[in-house]
Amino acid sequence: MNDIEQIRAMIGEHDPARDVRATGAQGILDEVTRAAAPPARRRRRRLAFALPATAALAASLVAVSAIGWPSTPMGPRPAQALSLHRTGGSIEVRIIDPDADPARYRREFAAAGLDVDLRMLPASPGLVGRMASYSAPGTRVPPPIKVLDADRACGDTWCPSGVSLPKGLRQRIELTFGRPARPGEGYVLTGSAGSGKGYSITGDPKAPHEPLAGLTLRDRTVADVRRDLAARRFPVGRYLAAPPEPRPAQWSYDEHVLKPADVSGTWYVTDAWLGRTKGTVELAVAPTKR
Amino acid sequence: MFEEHYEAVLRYAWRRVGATDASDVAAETFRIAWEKRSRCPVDKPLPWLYATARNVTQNLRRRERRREALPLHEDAASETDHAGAVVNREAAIAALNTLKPADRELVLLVSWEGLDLRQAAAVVGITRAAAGMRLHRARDHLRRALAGTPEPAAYEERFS
Repeated sequence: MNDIEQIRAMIGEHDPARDVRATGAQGILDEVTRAAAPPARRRRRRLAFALPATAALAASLVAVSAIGWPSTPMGPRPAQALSLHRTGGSIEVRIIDPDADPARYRREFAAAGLDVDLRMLPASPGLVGRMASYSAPGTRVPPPIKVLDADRACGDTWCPSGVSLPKGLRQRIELTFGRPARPGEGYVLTGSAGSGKGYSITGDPKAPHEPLAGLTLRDRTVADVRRDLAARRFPVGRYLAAPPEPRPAQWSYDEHVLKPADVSGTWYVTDAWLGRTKGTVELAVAPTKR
Repeated sequence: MFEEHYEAVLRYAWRRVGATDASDVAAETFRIAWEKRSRCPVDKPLPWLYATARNVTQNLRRRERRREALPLHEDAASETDHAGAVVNREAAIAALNTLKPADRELVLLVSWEGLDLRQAAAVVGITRAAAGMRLHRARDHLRRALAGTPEPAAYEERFS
């Protein structure tokens, strides 16, 4: 299956508007086209909808994917493992020390009167200290908490810096954040809420703090990129053939893995991704610049 | 000419801004389309209309300082819904919300709007090659994000 078919298979059936029907469209369109030069005031106008019989009860578990943060602080341990910032009626939770003893987190949450279970799982450097997921066990109602947006770019991932919890929240909340991987440890988070499935949390290789931060890979020759990667001791996991031009409607990189010996140094890199094996990168390559 | 595409544009907006604002976005899209109708491709206007709706949606978000995440459609709750299906959709939307907004837009265009690669690339204003690359990346990312979400059965087993 090509990428588009796989994406459709994954999310196609979850279309929230699948059963949406518009009635009265002609009236709206008449109004729009009649007002030839409207002093365009935005008007609140409602159509009658046939409401879909779908949609949201609430999920008790929301997974958001992880994000990056400056790598582990060097030097003395911060006095606090957590930042619990009180604003108005809520408490904003961020991680100060992503490599702290879990018992310290528990103590600091308990001292703030919150029933929060914090898991720290190994993440690639750009995602250390960022939230990977949250869940509210035992309920179908979404918890009254707010994800705090990323305060900086993390490449291709969305990187919440933490969550905001209402003061006096009695509900149990489980949070998962990224921590530095230990030597020999892969960037793998076991799935949320005991699903038994693991998923890796790895950032965009070119994002800040990731192994290839700041490195330009695209539109450079394979030889040049190999040299830069070797200098960073970052091997190429796989070479993938870029699609020919004009690009076919369907192209699966996984079906076009190249043998390293078949890739000439004079070829060009058309894109790069973090490898599935920790510490490797995958390069899409083509004989000519794209 | 526009009437047959109204529902498609309404759905486009519904998916991105939720039920409350969908009709406003659709109406504004057609107002602009009418003003610029000389530039609208007559044979296949839908990708062009989606690109217009995309601008309207982005303006709405900017104006109201909204985050570019997909709504969870809590406003359309229905008792007839099977809980498992709902949890599935929540998980899918949560996974979609982990994508970069520009990548997510491409994913939605090829899946929920059903465009092909060339049309989706045109709506977003990038080359087909770039769109293919982004979709490849998004596919890997979605697969990981969805694998990290509990199976609905496990969820129901655990909480209900």
